[in-house]
Amino acid sequence: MLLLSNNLCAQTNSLSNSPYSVYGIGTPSRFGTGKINAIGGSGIAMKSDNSLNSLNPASLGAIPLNHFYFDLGINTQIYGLSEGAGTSKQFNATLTNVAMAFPLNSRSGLAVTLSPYANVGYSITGIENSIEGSNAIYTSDAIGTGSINEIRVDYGYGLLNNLRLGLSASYFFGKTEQTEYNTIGNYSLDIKKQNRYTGVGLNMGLQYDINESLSLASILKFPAVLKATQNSYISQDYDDTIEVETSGDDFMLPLEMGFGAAIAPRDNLKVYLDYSRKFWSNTAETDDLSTLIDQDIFKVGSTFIPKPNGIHYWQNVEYRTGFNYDTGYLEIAGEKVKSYNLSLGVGLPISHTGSKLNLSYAYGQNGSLSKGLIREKIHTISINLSLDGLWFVKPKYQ
Amino acid sequence: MPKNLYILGSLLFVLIAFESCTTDDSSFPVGEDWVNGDTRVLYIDTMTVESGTFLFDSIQVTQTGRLLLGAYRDSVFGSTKSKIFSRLTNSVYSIDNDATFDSIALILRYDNYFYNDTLSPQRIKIYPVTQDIVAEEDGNYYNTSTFDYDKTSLGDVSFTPRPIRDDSLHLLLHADFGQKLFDELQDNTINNSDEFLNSYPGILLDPDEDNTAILGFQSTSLIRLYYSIENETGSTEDVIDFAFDASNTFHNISGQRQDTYFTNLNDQKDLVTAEQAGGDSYIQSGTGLATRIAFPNLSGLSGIEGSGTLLYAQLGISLNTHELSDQLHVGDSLVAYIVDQRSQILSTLYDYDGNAAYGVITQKEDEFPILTYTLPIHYFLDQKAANFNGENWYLALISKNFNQSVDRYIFNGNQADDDSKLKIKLTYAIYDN
Repeated sequence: MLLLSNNLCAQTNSLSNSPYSVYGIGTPSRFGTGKINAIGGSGIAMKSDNSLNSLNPASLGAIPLNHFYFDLGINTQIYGLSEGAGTSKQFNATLTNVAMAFPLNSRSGLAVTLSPYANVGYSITGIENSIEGSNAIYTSDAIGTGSINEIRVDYGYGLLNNLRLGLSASYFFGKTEQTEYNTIGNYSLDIKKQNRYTGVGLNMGLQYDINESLSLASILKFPAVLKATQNSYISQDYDDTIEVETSGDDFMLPLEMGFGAAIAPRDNLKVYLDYSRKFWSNTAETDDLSTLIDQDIFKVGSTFIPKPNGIHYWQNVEYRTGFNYDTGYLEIAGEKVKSYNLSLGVGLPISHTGSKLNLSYAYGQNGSLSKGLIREKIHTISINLSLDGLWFVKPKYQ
Repeated sequence: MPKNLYILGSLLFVLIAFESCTTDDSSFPVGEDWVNGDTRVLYIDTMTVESGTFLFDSIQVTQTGRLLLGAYRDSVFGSTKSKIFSRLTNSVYSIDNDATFDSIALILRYDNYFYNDTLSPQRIKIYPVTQDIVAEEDGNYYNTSTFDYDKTSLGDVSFTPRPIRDDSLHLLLHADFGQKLFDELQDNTINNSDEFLNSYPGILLDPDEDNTAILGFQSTSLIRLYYSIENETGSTEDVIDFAFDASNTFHNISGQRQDTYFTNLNDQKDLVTAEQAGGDSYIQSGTGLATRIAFPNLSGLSGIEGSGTLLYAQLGISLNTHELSDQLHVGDSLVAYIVDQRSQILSTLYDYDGNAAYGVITQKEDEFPILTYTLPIHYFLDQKAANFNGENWYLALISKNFNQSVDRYIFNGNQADDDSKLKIKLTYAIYDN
């Protein structure tokens, strides 16, 4: 199905429209499974009791027996980019995740998730560089595409009824490609660099229910190295294309720590509060103009069902809202690239077993106009299908 | 419920079908602050290029359209002399018995080329050649080819050259030579071409060493015998033309180079460096003096680390304008060959277009004009770097009419002013640091 969809789409392969994706391995994906996008990305303390929570492997300790989850998400984004006087509107649509989860026994569960970890998609023109040894300059256009994907296996175990531990192992793989079109005097020099990355990562999680209406949780992601192999293709006006293996830099994914709380003031109302920090500065990724800095992310979200099991359909719909604020992982020319996001969504029940169609809309801003940076205003529509199937249990009534 | 699922499933399928689609409406222009790539582009014009002068053992002069005749003394190049060996052709083997010989003359048709001072009278002697004028084994004549001749001259003439104003030069030869030839044809001593060539293998036109000019003549020059026939009404005049056989007529050009920088160039592999020759390199057409350029190795330049590729390369060689004069003109382009360390020609210099590369003159309009020939050498440097014997590749520069002119060129070496010294300009891109 995925292969077919690639053929139907006649456009390019860039899965992002952010010029900021030129840094590192691209723009990290901020999406998750189920309802996570609608609640501002929060939910570290949320149990996977009716849909998969991709934020914390410990949540799988709560997957009910005989249930099987299938989670599929896509999103479309409309980017409005501004820099100084220039603006531009761009659009993309991507797959957010494909996942499934199932219990192993009454205390534990396993999930397998495939999702993009980071996306690269930019088209930057008119970059001016100086020709060393003279006063002349030459111009470049740079186009980047590609993505790094993650396939992850989560395992969650309920040590006690109110204490769950989790472990996950990830395999990262992907390819990014940057093509630089240089015009030097009357000559053109095109340099295409393809980076192939592979790496493995390890995460841990914990969830603790203090009582029925308060749970605390934490996650820990260990740093991971994405090893790179790079091939360059250099074509120029005269002379044949040079194909050579060049030295690509490995990329380090940072140590990440997160804490979350889930509060249920009432049965049908839940509030989630998350804080996480990614320690990018330890990865020593820096060059003259941009630095990776430690990133703090604050998320808050809430869900509300008017009347669970009510007669009317809309009474069973889950209404969601969320907000997050991100101090950013990039500092460019001394200026931090911060972002915030506001989200609204609904979960529409589509089966008696708890399957839901989750729709959400988010509006966010990334970056700012000061110091020549680019400000992105992003509208995101996410559509997620969370199927919760009952296995090995015959329905009582056909 | 299952129906809802099918609808939802198809809806999702359609939506997923647009996975990995992006519109590419407009690229985003940003400044240099944004992207710091690995690519570096360098402009380098500070590499040291060495030049020198060598002498071709011989240069081929078969069927040059122009025949050079004359001699002159040059303060830099010594004395230069060009003499002409010519095989004659004849088609008249019977002459009326009543005809009488009038005179015989050498008619040389100017081709407008001249070198050095044409204001003074020039003197040449004409001798009979006693050896058959035939090409060397490979079918060619060379500027060093020579044939035996009889030291008794057929003519000894002085004239004031007027290569532009006049069409041709008319030089009277000794009457007894003409009479003898006339009689042999009239008496049928000579009846055909073989007998003619047996008696008259050819002529040598030998300029006096104290001449001050070298002149160019067309190969359609000839010897003309005038005779007349008396009859009742008067006398009619007629001629017999002995045209130069263009395929077997050539000029022998030589130089006397004692007391010049080039006195020790005895073999083609010998080289006089610019340092040894007043800081300059030289070309003298006709005699075979040529400039040779040595190129430095591109890799190992300080500051060039990483893998890169050459985008552009050009050689600039400038005339030493202190040595220019109106009388001693130069051409507007130079021809280049790739030669080895013994100055043997390996091939013509080509450019990436596939065309032979020439050095073309570019002139700066200035109070003190600088005349520079520029030559594209990108392809040459790429080939040189890739060839296993590339370190023994040099470029030889000669003038355009190298085998039918005596033009001299004096080029600045690498020690002259920055504007006019021998240099190469490179644009080099590094894509992997």
